[in-house]
Amino acid sequence: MSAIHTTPAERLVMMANQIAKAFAAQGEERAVMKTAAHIKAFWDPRMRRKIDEHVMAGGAGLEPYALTALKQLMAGTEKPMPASEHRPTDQGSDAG
Amino acid sequence: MTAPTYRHVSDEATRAMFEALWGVPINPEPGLRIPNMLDAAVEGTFKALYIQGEDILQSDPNTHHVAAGLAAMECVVVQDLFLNETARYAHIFLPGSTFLEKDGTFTNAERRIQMVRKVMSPKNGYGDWEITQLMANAIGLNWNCTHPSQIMDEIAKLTPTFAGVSFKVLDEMGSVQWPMNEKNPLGSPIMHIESFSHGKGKFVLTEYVPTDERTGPRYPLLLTTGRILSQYNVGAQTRRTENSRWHEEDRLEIHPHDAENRGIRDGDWVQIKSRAGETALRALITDRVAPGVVYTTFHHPLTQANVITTDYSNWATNCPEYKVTAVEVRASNGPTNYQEEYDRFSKETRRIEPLIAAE
Repeated sequence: MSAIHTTPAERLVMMANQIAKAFAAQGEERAVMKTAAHIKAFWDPRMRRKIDEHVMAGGAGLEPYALTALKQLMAGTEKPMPASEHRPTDQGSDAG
Repeated sequence: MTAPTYRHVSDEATRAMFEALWGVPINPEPGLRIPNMLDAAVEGTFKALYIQGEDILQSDPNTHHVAAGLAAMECVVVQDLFLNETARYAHIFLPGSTFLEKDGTFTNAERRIQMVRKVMSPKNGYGDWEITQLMANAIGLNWNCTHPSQIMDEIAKLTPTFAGVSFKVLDEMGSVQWPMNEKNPLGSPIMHIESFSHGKGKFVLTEYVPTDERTGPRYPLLLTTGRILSQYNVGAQTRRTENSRWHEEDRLEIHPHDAENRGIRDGDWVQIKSRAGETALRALITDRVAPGVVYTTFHHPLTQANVITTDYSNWATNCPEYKVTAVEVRASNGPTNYQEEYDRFSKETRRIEPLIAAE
């Protein structure tokens, strides 16, 4: 495999897959919810636009949880994080 | 992306505080992190950057990509104590001031806010905060701070955990640890007693996210990079001092077994190559590194250690992956063409035209 992600879309696919993987152990529902919340909180609009275009073009390379989360974000159907979860936008999150 | 103390920009109450005091609307969408800024610059959608006291051309991974990003921008302003490496790409260079030349505070890793007092006026004429204010006013803003204590007062106004902090309080108490506010009038030497600020801690399962970087037949060794005590980070400050006697150059540390396999002797020039790029430096044969692992510092610009490092990063923060780069090492007879060209260009960009007396 090539280790260098030469195009911006490839880099974003790698990032989305890594985010989804970090949450994968929590099961599909929570992993998808948290992946969507993380991307929404920390991706600049032009990164979102670029990955949206990639999803519309078929979403090559995206793992299932990442793809589902991105499709939900595009449709505005992502699940809000309940207050019982540590949300990425909560004060004290240092993921920024 | 976040206001001080990690308040996310999407938080309406936080935005409202800043909007009320600054009198401007604030975009609720997150911004870009440094690696993403560089991607966007190459794409042509990120046009200007104001860099104070940071040398991203040397410190950040995948130097060729950093250089391409900086070169693509329409306006790069570098404000630093020295003509650092990033200044090669600056359209405007502004001389910074040292900690001895300005009043202000340092906050250390135990949240301790400490006063720093100037012992002399800035040689460049202005403290860093004054330069920023002059720039702001040049583009039509009306900033009129006359002393850094007023900047701290604004921070206290906008940051609930700093509400009780001021230069006056710091003068009286010597130093304080935030949070410092009505609830913690003397500051907070220890946080999270009994519970966290949000209540109980919550344990969650996380999956280990390994790097995608792989060794293989072409790149069988792993490079890790790091720092030593006598040089600070990219060495912009410490390389210009007698500290360099302790660390005159970056060397590639390699295990005797790996060196012998490749016919490399101690002190030889070696070429090190990854999927991102290649550079050359001198070898240091040592069993401080394990077989299969090579190590170097990145304190000296001519080493170009970050030409080799890749754009892999941590999933949550995009913190670059400096510790795992698959490489091959082989004997070489000196610096690469790129290093020689870099050196030549460095010398050229540091020439200063003599002052010509006005007629």
